[in-house]
Amino acid sequence: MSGTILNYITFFYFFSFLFYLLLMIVEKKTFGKIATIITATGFAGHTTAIILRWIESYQMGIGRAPLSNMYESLVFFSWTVILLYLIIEWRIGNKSIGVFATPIAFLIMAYSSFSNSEIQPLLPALKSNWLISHVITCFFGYAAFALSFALSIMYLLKGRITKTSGDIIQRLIPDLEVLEELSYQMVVIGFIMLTLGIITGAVWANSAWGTYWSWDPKETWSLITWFVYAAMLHSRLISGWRGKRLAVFSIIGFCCVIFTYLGVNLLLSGLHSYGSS
Amino acid sequence: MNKTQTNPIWNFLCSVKLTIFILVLLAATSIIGTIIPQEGADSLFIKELGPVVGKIVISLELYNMYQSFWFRLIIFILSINLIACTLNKFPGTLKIYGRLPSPDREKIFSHVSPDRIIKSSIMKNDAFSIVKGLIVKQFSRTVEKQTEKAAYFYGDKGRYSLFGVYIVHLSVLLILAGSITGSLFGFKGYINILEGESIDYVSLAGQNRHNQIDLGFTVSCDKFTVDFYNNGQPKEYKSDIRFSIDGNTVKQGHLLVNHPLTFMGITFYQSSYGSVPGDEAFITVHQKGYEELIKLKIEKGKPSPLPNNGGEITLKEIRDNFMRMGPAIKVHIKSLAGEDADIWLFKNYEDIRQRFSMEFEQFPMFDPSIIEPYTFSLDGVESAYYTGLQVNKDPGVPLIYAGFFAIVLGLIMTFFTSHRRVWIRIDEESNITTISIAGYANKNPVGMGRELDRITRQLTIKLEEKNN
Repeated sequence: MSGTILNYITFFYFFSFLFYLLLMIVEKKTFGKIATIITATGFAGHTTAIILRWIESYQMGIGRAPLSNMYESLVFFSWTVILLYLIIEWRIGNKSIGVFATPIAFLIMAYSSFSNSEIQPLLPALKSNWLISHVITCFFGYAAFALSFALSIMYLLKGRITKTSGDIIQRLIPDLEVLEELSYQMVVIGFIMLTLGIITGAVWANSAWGTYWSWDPKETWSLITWFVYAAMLHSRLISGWRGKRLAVFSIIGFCCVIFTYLGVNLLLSGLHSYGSS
Repeated sequence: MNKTQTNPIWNFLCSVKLTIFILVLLAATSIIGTIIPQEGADSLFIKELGPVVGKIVISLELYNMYQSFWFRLIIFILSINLIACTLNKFPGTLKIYGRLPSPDREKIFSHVSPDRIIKSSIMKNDAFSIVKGLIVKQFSRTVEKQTEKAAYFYGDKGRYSLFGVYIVHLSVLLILAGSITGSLFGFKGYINILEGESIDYVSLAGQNRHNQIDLGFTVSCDKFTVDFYNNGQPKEYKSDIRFSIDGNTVKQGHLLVNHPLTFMGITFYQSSYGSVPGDEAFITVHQKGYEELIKLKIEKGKPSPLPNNGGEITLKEIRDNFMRMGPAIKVHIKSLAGEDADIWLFKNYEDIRQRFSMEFEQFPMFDPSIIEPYTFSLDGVESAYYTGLQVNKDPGVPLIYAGFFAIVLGLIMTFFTSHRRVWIRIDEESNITTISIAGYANKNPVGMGRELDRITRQLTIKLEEKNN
């Protein structure tokens, strides 16, 4: 049941992307409204599906939070991206960010269809209260970084397009300062969440294996990501970097996030191997 | 600090450029260790790399990179940089923390936005008490000053946020100190205990493997149980563990994955399990001329009589997986006539015979009917579970956890709180009272702007209430 809903959600996010795009091309407010309605409906369905999956696991006698394999983490990641996006749209009242944020959620959902969506029982090592807090903090962090990435792309795009050739883009995309500030705020949220994610992971590893840190590829890559964003925050807060350079930094940071999340599972092996199926 | 500020080395050590460089360097070098297996110098991988690359890998200790000298040096420089930055900036921060600015800083009011200037017909003194009521309520420190020309207020709050960044940096040092403490005064090891047995030493893991340390007490595994899901995946495994000193039980408990037990500063983690053959096997004996099959339980080293006063059989060896052909036992058989032989009995005899047909029959030691008139078959071997425990002593963990707590606290203070300062001037000219509101914060100027707007709004409302 939850699986069927989630298949539809993928299309919802695809259509919300299309309508946000239409809004950018023809600049008709109706399209923006439709896009928001589709996204919000998709989000409601998405939330329901996650809860249903939770209930289904209890009905199967397994009983666990839907946050414990690759498929479920992708579904949750996409959910957090849309949640953060809707909050931003509601707060700043600009829909152009949707063109860049909804395709991220759509792509994640589409990618999830390649993973095994069965509800499997938990390995003993995963049976821990730390599982939920570890996954939630990590993916809120990832989602915030994803939005900062989208905002940075917009920043670079807007900076490139001259006033005459890209009239609509100039009018619809928020001011560079707004983009920059939002992107920075997302990085701050992401950084704190990533820190919490690494910490909860370390405390959990210490209770399961007696080692809070073992330089496993996934751990190391999350630390690499942490270093990159730490460098970015220092360059902004102390060295006063702004604009383009920070946007590029944020894009590099998000590449590290994606590698930590997907690249490590695909290319390297380690403790998080249970996350690969 | 005046003398050191001109020292170029000191300036280099406290520069944020160094910080950014080190962070990027740590990020870049850490990648190496995720690609090259961190399994030690003699791994096959290094041989595959060829002589030149292999030499680089070995001389830079890339097979054990995170413990290598140069990687530790980078971390060491990062800590020096952190300490230098702190020493460099902290006195200034303390000064800002302690200083109470004078309220009548005219310069601050020179570019106040017109939105934050309220004009009212209210008396200056009334305005003064309204402003005072609001400022005292909303700010933690306030100063007022009256001159002939005007009245001034200063208020600030969130001064503690100035320390957020120091807490973050201190916490990084705490975490590093914790990891050093752990590697100096702690150890990591493992033990395997057979169900029902005890052990009083631990084998070390990693670079010190082959070494053992005495625990100073005895660990016993009284019972081991494992549950499986329907698909055969292990669901939960549990050891009933007992700690004793000189034969007296001091502590007892269940050990599960994710639920370690600590005894005398040493923590035990359920990490694996396995089974080893025990001392008993179950066999079936068929005797020519008899219909009946006889089932026997035989015990290692103890001769068991064969049926009908025929002789005896002794179990000599039990193998879990003999020559990759599954469970097998070696038995010594002696017939009444004095014939004797050692033979191997396989649990999967029929399968193996079909698989190897010819060759198998050439070996008398695999022939279960070699001693007349008996034919033996193996029904099963008794196996015993052992529990695999990770054994750790890490006195650095409290420091690490303190660092974790502090870094989160520090980050929240750094990013979500700010030192907000506000100056308010009230002056009167030809019966019009003018209130100007100015202020700034050490970060989040947008939020500070909103706060100033809110103060302006609240003051306007209060002044109007008073006027009516």
